[in-house]
Amino acid sequence: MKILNIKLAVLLLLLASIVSSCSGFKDSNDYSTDEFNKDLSGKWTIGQASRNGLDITKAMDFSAFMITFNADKTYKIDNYLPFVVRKNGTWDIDDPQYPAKLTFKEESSQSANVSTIEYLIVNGERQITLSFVPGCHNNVYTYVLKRVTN
Amino acid sequence: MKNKINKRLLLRAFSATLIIILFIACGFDLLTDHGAYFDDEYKDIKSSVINNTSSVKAGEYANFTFYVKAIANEEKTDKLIIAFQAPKSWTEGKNAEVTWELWNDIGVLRPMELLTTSPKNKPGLTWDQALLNTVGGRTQNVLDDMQWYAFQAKDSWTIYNNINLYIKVRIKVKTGPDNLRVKVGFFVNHADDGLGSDEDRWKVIWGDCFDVTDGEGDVIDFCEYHFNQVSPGTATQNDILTFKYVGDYYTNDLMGEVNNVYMNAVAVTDKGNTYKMDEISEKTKMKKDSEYGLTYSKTFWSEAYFNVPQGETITSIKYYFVNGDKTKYVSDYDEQHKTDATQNPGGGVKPIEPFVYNLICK
Repeated sequence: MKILNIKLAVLLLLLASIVSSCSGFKDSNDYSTDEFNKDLSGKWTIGQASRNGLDITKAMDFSAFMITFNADKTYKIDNYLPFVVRKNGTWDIDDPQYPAKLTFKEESSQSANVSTIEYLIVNGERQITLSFVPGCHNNVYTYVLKRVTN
Repeated sequence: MKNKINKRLLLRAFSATLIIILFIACGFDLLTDHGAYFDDEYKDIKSSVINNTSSVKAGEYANFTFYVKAIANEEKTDKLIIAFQAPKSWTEGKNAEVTWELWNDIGVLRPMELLTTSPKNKPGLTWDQALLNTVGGRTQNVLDDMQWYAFQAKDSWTIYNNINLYIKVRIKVKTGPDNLRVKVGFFVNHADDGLGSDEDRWKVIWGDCFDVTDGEGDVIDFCEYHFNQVSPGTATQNDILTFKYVGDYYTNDLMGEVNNVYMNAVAVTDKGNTYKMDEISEKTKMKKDSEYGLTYSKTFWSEAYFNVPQGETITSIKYYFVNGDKTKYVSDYDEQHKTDATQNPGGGVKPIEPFVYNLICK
C-alpha cells in the first residue's frame, strides 16, 4: 500500500512538472487580433440583382451601372439604375469592422438613405450585397456588387 | 358530491398539466372530414381550408379556417406552428390573430404569436424566405407578390403515441387596399422540426380564390392566368418592371410566333404626355422564359425605357403584344373575347384594346 502511494505521488509530481514546464514554452503571441476594417473603396458593378427574392440578373442589362466608393467618403454613380440614391454624394458605414448599414447622402440633400450591407468573399472575390427599396415600399431589391479589378 | 368535484378538478388539472408539459413530435395531415370532429357551420364542406366568406371589402378583416390532423409517432416536447401566405399589400399580416383549438376541447382558443426567428432546419433564413424556397414552386397563385407569416403556439401541447389529434385553426387578418383575387396559402408544422426534409411533418395547401373588392386600382388577379402579367403588382417609376405574355393558356394569334414576340407600349405621365416604345427591335423583343411553354418576358426600368424626362412621372403603361411584322397581335380585346367561338365576329381588322398597368404604390 505504501509503495502504491509513493508511485502515485511520483506520478503526480511528474505530471505537475510537465504542466509547469509547458508554460515555459508558452507562445508569446496571444493571437487576439482585431477584425480588420472593411474596405469599400474602388469601383463596383452589379454581379447579381433580385427583386423581392426573384433573380432578375438575366432579365435586363445591369452591366453599365457602376458605383465608385472613394476613400474620402464620397461616391459617384455612373449609368444609374434603380438604387438607394440617384445623385452623387457621401457615404458612411455604421461599423467599419462589422458593417450592417451603409448610409448614402446625396449632395445638396439634408436626408440620408440607408441600405443593408453584407461584406463577403465568394470564390476568392470580394463582394458586397446591398438590399434597399428604391421605389414602392413593397419592393425590395438586392444587388450583389463585385469590385472592378483593373 | 364533494368527492365528485374533487375528481373533476383533479382530471382538469391533470389535463392542463399534460397540455403544458409535453408535446409529441408528429406528422400532419390535412383534415377534410373535419365535420366528424367539429360540429361547426363548415362541417359539410369537404375541404381542409375554408374561406369564411368569399370576399371582403379592401381594408376589412378576412377570416379563414384551417383543419389539420396530427399523428403522433414519438414523444417530445414541442409547439405547433401555423403559417399563412397573403399578398404583400396585406401589410397587417404580421398582426393577424391566429388561434388553434382541439376537437376534445372546443371553444378553448389557444393563442399563437408571430415568429421572427429562423426555422430550426433553415438557419439564417426567415420563415418567409424558407417557405418560399421550400414550397414556392407549389403555389397555386400566378403572381409572386406574396409573403408568408409564421406563428407559433404560445403553449406546448400533449398527445400520445398512435393517437390522432384534430385541430381547428382560425386566422383573422386585415386585408390591404388593393382590389385583388388571391388564393391564400396555409402551412402546418411543429417547432422542433422547423421545416425539415421529412414532408410527413409538415403540410401546405392553398385555399379557393378569395376576392378583395371596393379598393384601389385595377383588380390584381393572383388566381388565374391572363395573356398579360406584370410584376411587381404595385410599383413606382423607380421600380424595375417585368411584363409577361402568357401565350399558351388560351388560343391566340401569336401562338405560332415562336421567338417573334414584341411589346408595343406607351407610357402616360402625370403631365398628360405620352412616350411610345413601339419599334420592332431588340429593345422591345420579348425573351422566352424557358424551353417549354409559350411565356415571354420583358423587364425594364420604365423611366429609361420610355426616355421620360426628369420632372415627369409615369402614371400608367398601355401595352399589347405583336409579332415582328406587326400583322398579328394580342391585346386586352383578345383577353375579353378569348372564349368566343369566333374571336373577331365582326370580321375585318381585329380591334386593339391595350392592357393597362397603373403605377400605384399605397
